[in-house]
Amino acid sequence: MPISGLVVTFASSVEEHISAIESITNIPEIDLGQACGSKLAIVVDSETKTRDQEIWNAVRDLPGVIDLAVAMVAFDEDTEEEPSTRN
Amino acid sequence: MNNDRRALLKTAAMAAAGSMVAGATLPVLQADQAVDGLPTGEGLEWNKAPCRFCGTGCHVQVGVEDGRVVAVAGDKAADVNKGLLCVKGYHVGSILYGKDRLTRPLLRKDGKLTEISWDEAIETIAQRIFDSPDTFAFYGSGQWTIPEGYAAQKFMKGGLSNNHIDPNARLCMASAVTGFLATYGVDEPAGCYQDLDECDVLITWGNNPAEMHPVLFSRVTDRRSRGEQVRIIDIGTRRTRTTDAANDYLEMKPHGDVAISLGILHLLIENDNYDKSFVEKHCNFRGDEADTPTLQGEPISEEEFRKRIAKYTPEHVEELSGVPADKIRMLADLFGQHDIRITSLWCMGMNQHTMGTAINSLVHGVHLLSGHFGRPGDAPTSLTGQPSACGTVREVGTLAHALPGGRVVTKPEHREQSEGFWNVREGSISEVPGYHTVKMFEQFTKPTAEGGDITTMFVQVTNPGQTLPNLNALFNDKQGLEDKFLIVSDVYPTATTALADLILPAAMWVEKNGMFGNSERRTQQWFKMVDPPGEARDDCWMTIAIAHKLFEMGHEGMKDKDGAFIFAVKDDAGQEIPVWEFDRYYDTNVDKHLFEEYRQFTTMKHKNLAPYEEYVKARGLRWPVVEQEDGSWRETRFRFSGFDDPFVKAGEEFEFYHSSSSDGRAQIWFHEYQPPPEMPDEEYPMWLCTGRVLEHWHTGTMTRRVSQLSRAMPTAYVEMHLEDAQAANIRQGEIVTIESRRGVCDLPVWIDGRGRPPRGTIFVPFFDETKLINNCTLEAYDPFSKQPDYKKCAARVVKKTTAKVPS
Repeated sequence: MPISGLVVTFASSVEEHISAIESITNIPEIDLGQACGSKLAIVVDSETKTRDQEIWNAVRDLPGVIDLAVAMVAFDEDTEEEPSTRN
Repeated sequence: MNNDRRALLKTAAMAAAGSMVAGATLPVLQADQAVDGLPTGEGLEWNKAPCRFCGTGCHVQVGVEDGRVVAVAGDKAADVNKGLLCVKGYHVGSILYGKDRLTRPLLRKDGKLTEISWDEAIETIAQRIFDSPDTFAFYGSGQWTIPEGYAAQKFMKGGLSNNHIDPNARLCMASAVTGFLATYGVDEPAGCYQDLDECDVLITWGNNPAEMHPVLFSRVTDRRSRGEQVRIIDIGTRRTRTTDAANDYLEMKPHGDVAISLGILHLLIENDNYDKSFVEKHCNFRGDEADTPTLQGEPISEEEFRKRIAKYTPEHVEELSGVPADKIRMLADLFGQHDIRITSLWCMGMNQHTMGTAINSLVHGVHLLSGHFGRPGDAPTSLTGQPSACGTVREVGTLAHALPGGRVVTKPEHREQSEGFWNVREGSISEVPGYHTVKMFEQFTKPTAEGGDITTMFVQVTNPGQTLPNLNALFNDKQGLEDKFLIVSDVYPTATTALADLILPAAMWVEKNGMFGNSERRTQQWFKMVDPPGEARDDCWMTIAIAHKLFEMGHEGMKDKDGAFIFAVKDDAGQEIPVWEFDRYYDTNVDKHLFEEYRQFTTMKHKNLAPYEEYVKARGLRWPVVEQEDGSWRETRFRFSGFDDPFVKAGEEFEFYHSSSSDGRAQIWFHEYQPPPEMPDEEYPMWLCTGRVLEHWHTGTMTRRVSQLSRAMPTAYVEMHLEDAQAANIRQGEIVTIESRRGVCDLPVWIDGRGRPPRGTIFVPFFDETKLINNCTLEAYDPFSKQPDYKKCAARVVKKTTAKVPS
C-alpha cells in the first residue's frame, strides 16, 4: 500500500494542460497539491502495488506530461516482494 | 501501516512533493536541513544514502522503522537530484526485500547446493588460494563500494602479488577511461552536471539519458519547461525516448559516430572555423604510430592533421555514417559558433565499440578544436552506468593493469609508492598486468590442460553469467570443468550463481557502510541502517576474512613488512580489533580505516579526496577536494579551468597538468575510420544492438524482484522495424529466434515499441536472465581499452511461435 509524493512536469505551464489535470483529478487515489510553473505536486495513496503502477503509467502517459519524478515514497508493510520470474 | 502513521506519511509526501514545485529553481539546502519536512516519530529515523542504481549519484533519505526500510525520499540537500528521484530510485528501498534473498553460504557437493557454515566457506576459499595463488582471479564491479574495491585491490596486488583482478566496468566504460587518458593524460570528465544546466546545445552520442539517466535528463527538460532554449541533438542508431525530446535526430549506421566526428573536425579545419587561440595555447595534434599503436600515439603537425582529415568530406562521411552531408555541416557550424555552449553526453553506445578509445578521443577532439571546453556548459562528458564505476574502478583502480590513484603496475616507481603505502615488502607487486575481463574468462573456461591457467575465480557484486559477451564461449563453457572453481557473492540467485561451486550471501546497500563515486567525480558516503537477512555479510568483510585465514595459514603476503596482518585495525589503545570475525566487524568503522589509507594515493594525480568525516557531513564532494586556509574543504566543479581548479597555475586560463606530452596541453587525435568487426551479410543480414530499459537496472537482479518494475517490463523483447517484420511475415508479439554465429536467443517481437530501430536493425535489452541475448553477442574488443562491442554484430531473425509482448 504505497504512498507517494510525485512531481509531474508538463511541457509548458500547468494551466495550459486543463484536460490532463482533469484526467488526474478523475483518479480517486490522487490528491492534487501545489502547482508552480510547469510543475504539479500530487500524492498517490493506493491500495495495491498493481494499482500504484497503473496510476504511475496513466499519469506518465497523459498528453503534455514530460516527466514524472518522485519526492517521497512510503511502502511500509508492502515491502515483501514476489520472487522474480527467473527460470 | 496504522492509520495515524499513514496519515502522517501522506502529509509528508505532499509536503515533499510540494516543496519540489515551489519556485522555478530548486534550492540546494545545507546538508543538516535535509530531513526537515519528513515525518519523524517513535521509531522512525531518516538517514542519507546515494541511490544503489546508476552512476548519476542521486541522494535519497532512507526512512527506517523497526529495523526495516519503510520509506525513501529524494534528498533536498543533494545537488545532483535536488529532491527528485526516477522510477528506479522510487523503488530502491524495495530491493532489499525480495523473497529469494540468499541467506546462507552454499557449497556444491555432488552437484547439489548444500548449506555450509561461514567458517567452512572462508576456509575453502583460502585453501584454494593458498594451494595455487597464481591461478586465482578476482572479478569485481563498479558496484563495489570504494572500501570494498580498495580491500580487494590490496588483497590481490599487495598481498597475493597477483594482478588478475578486473571489474565488470571493463564492459561498460573502459573506453571512456582510455579516451580521457589519451586526450588529457588523466582520467575522468573535466566538467560536471552543472554543464547540463548551462549548455545551449546538448548532443547525445549513441546515448539515451531519458531512460538511462532520467534525473539528469530531467535537468535539461526542466529548463525547457521554464522557458529556456536548449537544443537537443540525438545521434543514434535507433529512435528512443531521448529522440522524442530532441530537436534533431541524426540516424547513423553502426560505427557512424567515428565518421561523424571526423567529418566535424574536417569542416572546422576546412572552413578555418576552429578556435585557433585555444588550440595554439592548449593543444597538440596526435596520431597512431604506424607499427604498433599505443595510447600515447605520436605527435603530428597541424599540417599533417589537415592532410589526414582531408578525405572526411561531408559526402564521404554520409557514405560511411548514413547521416546526410548537410547534417554534418550543421554540426560543424554549431561547433564553429563560440558564443554558444555545447555539451556532449555519451555512455555505453560510444564505449562498447571496437573503436571505443578512438571515438572517445575524437569527440574530445571536436570540443578541443572548436574551443568548446572548460566553460560551464561547454563539455565533453561520459556517463557511467554503475554507482561507483568512477569511484571504485577508475579511482581505486581495480583493473588488471592499475594501482590506486592512477598508478600502474608496469612502472617501478608506482609499484614502489604503493608498496610503501601498504607497508608490504619491496617487490610484492608484480610488474606484469593481469588478465582483462575477456581474457580472464577465456582462461577460466578453457580446460587447464589446454592452458586455461585461471582455476579459481571469486566474483563479487556482479553477474558475468549474464553480462559477458558470447556467453557460450566465455561463461557457459565452465560447465563440466571439474577442476575449475567459481565462487560468487551476491544477494539473489543469478545466472552466475547457477554455475557457481560456492555461493556467499551478501549484504547490500544500506545493510552495510559504503562509499560510491559518481560520474561527475563526486564521492558519497553512507552508514549501515538495517541488518542484512539471515547470515548475509559484507563483501569487504569476506575479503578481509579470507586474507586473515591465509595469514593464519602462514601466507607471507598477508603479513606486512613488520609481520602484522595487512588489514590490521587498531583501537585507540593500540589493540588490534579482530575485524575478520563478523560479530566484531562493526566494532569499528572499517570503511573509514580503509578510506583514510586509500586517501594517501589520491594526491598522485590531483584527485585529492577529503577526510572521511567531511563526506559524512556532505551529499558528496567532487574531487579534487582541497583544504582551505580556514580548515574547510573545497570541491572542484571544472577541472583544468583556472577559474575553478586549484591545481591550475595562477594566472592561467587552462592547464592540462597531466598532459601526456608533458607540456600542459591536451591532445587532438586523428584516427582513421575502420569498419565494424562483423558486418551483416547474406547469412546473417541484420545488425544486432543490445542495451537497457528504463525499468530495469542492468541484469535485473534487483529490479526484477520489485513487482511494480517487473510488471511494467516483465520480459525482454526484440525491437524490429515494421517493414522488416512484414517482409518476414512476422507479427507483433510472435516469438522469434535471434541467431548469430555464436548462439541463439528466443524473444517476442515488439514493432514500433518504445525504441524504433531502422530497417535492417534489431535491438534487444539484456536485463532478462530468462532470455540471454549475450549468447549471441560478439566478444571482439577495442585494442586499448579491451572493452567488447555489444552494439553491433551480424544476426538473423527466424520466425517461431506466437506470444505476447509487453504493453
